Amino acid sequence: MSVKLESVEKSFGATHAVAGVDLDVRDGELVAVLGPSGCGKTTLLRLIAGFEAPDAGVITVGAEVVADGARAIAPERRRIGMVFQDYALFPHLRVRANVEFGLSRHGADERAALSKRTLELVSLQHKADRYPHELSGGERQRVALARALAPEPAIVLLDEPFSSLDASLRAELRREVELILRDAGATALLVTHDQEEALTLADRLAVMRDGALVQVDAPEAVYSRPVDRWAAEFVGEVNVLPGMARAGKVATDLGSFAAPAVEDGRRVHVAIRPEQLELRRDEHGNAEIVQREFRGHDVLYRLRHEEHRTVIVQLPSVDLFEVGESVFVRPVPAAAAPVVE
Amino acid sequence: MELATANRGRQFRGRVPKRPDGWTVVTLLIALAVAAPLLVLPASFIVAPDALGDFAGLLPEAVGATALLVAGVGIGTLVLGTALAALVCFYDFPGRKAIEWALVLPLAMPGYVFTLFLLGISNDSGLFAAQLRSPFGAIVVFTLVLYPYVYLLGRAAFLAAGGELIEAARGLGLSRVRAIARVAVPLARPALLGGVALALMEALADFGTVNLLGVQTFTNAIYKIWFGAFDRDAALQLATMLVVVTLTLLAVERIARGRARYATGGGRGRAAQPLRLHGLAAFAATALPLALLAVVVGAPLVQLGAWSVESIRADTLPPEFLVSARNSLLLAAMALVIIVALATLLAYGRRASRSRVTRGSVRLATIGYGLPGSVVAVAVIVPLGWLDHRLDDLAGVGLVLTGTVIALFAAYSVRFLALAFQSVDSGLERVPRSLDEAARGLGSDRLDVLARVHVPLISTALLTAALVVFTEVMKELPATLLLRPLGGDTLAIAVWQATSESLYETAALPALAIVLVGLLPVALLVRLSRTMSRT
Repeated sequence: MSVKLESVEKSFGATHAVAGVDLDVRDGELVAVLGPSGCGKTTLLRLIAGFEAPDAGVITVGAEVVADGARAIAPERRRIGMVFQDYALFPHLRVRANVEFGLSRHGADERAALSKRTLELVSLQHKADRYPHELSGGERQRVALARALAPEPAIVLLDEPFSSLDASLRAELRREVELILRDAGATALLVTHDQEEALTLADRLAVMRDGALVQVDAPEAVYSRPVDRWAAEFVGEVNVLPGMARAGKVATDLGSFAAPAVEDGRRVHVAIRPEQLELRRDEHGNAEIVQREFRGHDVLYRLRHEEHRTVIVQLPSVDLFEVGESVFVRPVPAAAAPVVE
Repeated sequence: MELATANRGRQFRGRVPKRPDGWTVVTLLIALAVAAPLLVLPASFIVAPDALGDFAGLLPEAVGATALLVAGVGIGTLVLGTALAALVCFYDFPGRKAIEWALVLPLAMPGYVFTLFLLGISNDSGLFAAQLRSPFGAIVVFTLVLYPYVYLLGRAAFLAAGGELIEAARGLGLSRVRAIARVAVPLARPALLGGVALALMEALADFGTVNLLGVQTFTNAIYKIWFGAFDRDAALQLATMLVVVTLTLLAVERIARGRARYATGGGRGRAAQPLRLHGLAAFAATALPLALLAVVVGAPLVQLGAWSVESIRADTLPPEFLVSARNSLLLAAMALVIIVALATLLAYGRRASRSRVTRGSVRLATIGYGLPGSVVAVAVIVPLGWLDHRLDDLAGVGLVLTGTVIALFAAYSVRFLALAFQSVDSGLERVPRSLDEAARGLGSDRLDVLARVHVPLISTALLTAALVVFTEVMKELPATLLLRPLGGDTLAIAVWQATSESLYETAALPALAIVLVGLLPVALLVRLSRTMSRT
C-alpha cells in the first residue's frame, strides 16, 4: 500500500527535526531515506509509525489519514511493520512467538499458518523454537523482519537495519533482505546513513538534510545528477571544479562539459565523479600522483593538479601508477559533469 | 507526551492540542500522598514554637547519645566491613567462596532480635549485664548487624578495580598489605563511605535496640514524648531534627555513590589476584569470620530455637502469639501488594512520561527512604488526622484513618516505597524502549504491552521488590508500635514487649520467625549476584 507525506513538520524544542517533508512511497516500492546522523530521518520514520505526532502536515497510509496535525492515530492501529536498529526482539519469547506476536487477532490455525509461511520466507523455519539470544546477528535481523512482515502490514519501516551487523555480513544480508521484501510484495521505507546501502537497495532514494528532503529520485539519477554540491559530496566521492559558462558549456581545469541551461559568463561549479577521469603517463603531464589507495578491484588516486587543486581519480586495478609519477589527467570521452553550484 | 516541548517551539498551522498527561497526574498524586507527611514535619516549629521547652532535659541527652552512637557505629562498621571485604577480595583461604557470601547473613538479623539474644544470655549467665545496657552495648550490636552494608559496597569496589593499581604499587616496592592500605582502600573510599552512611541511617532509624538497652537516642525520646507525655508537637520537632540528620547522611551516601562510580569508572577494572594464605594465617582467615558469623547468626539462631522449644514445652507462649503471627503476615502481605503496586505505577510513569513534573514527583515519592519509622509514624498522623476529622464532619463516620491499619499502610508506604521502586525501576530500565514500540507497532495497546512484554520481563524485579517489602514490614517495629490499632500486635511488637519485660524465652519464637523470614531476601540477593557474576 502507498504512503504519502504532505508538508510534515516536527520540532523538539528549538530543534526542527522534520521541516516540511513531502514524500510519496508507491505501492510495492522500496524507498531509502539517506542522510547524515541527526538529519531527522529517524524522526520521519517514527512519525509514520506513530511513535511521534507531527506538529503539522498530513500522513496517509493507504487511503487512511493517520495523522494530520490535529490528531494522530495510535501506532497499534496503523498497520505498519517496523524493524528496529537493535531488532527489539522480545527476549522472553521464542522465535515463533515473536513472529506471532502481532497476529493475536487471527485464529490459532491462521496464526500458525502465517508464522510458518513467514519463517519460511526468511528461511528460519528450523529455528522457530529458539530464543533470540541463541541466534546470530543476521538471524535475529531476519526474525525481526519476519515479525514485521507476518501481520501483512501496509508498509514496512526499517531503521538502520544493517548498522549493528559486521561489515562482512552487511552486503550479503542487504541482498537477502531486499529479496525477502520483494518476495513479500511489501512496500518499504528504509532509513540509513550508509550511501552504498541506499544505492544498492532502493528503487528510489530520498536524500535528507537538516530535516528536509533535498532530492528524491532513482539511485542512479541521484548519483549522476545531484541537485547541489552537498548532495554530490554526500552520495559518493566527487571532484567539484569551478568553471565559466560559455556557449552551453562550462570550461574547467580538466576540460569542458555540456551545461546547456547556464547563461554565458556565469561562474559555476561542476561535479565530476572520480571514475569519470582517466590517467595517462606523461612526463610533462598536468598532475602528479601524491597518494594511492589500493582497494582490490579498483584504486583511488589522489593527484596534485598543476593549478594546485587536489583531484581524485578512480581506476580499475589493472595498470597501477606509482606515487610521485607525473601523469596527464582528463575526463573520459562520455563524461558528464552536472552543474552543482 | 513530547507535545509539551513541541508546543513551546515555533507556531505551526493546526498544532496538536496539548492533552493532559495521565502519567504525570498519577505520579504527582503518589508523590504528594507519600511526601506530604514529611513536608508537614517542620510546621510543628511554627505551630508550637516552645513545645520542646517542656522536655528541655531530654534534648541534650538525645543529641549526646545519638552522636556517640553515630561515631561508634561509624568507626565500628567501617573497620569491620573494610577488613572483611579486603580479606575476601585480596586473600585466598579455605572456604573463602562460602564465607564471602555468608558474611552478608547478619543483614537478616534485626538489631532488637540480636539484643534479645544478648540480654537473654547475659541474664542467664550474669555476665556483662551492665556493659550491655549502655551506648557501648548498642554500638557493639549495631556494628555486628550493620557491617554488611560497608562490606558489600567495599567488596564491590575492591572487585571492580584495584588489581592493576595494586600491582603497580607493589612494583614500586610496597608490600602487599601496604599496597592494599595505601592504594585499594583509598580508591574504595567513596564506596566505603556510602556503606557507612547506609549503616548509620539504619542505626538512627532503630528503635528496638536502643529502647531495650535504655540508650536515650532521638527515636527513644520521640517514643517517650509521644506515649509518655502525649505531646505531639514536641515529638514532631524531635522527629524533624532526626530527619535533618538522616537527610544529611542520605546526601553523603548519594555523593559518595556518585564518586564511587567515578572512581571505578575509569579504565577497565580488574580484580586483584587473591594471595593464597598458608598455615596459621589461613586458619585465622577462615576462623575469624566464622567466629563472627557464629556470634551474630549461628548462636542466636540456636539459642532462640532452644528458648522457643522451652517456651512451647513450658507452655509459657502467650496465646496471642498466633494472633500476632497472623497480623504480621497479613500486614506484610497487604503492604507488599499496595507498595509494589505504587512502585510499579511510579516506575511506569517515569518510563511513559518524560515531563519534568514526573521526574520531580518520582524523586519526591522516594524521599522517605531510610527515614526512621518513628519519624514516619508521627509524620503521617498529622495529615491523616486532619483528613479524618474532615471526613467525620462530612459523613459522621468516626475516625476511620488514624485508628486503623490505614495509618500503618500509609507509614509503610512512605518508608518502603523507595526500596520497592528501586527494584521495579531498575528492572523496567533494563527493558529497551524499542520493545514497547515494537509491540505497539504489532498492534498491542498499552495494556497489552504491559501484560505481554513488561510483566514477563520484570517478574524477577517485582518478586524482589515484593520480598523486600514483605520482610521489612515483618521486622518493622517503631512505626507499627506507634500506629497499630488496639489489639493489633505483630511479631516484632511481641518480641519487643516480651524482651522489655525480660521474658526472653517468650520472645524467642516470634524472633526466630522474623529472622527466618528475613533470610529469604538475603538468600535471593546472594543467588542473584551469583548468577550475575557467572554470566
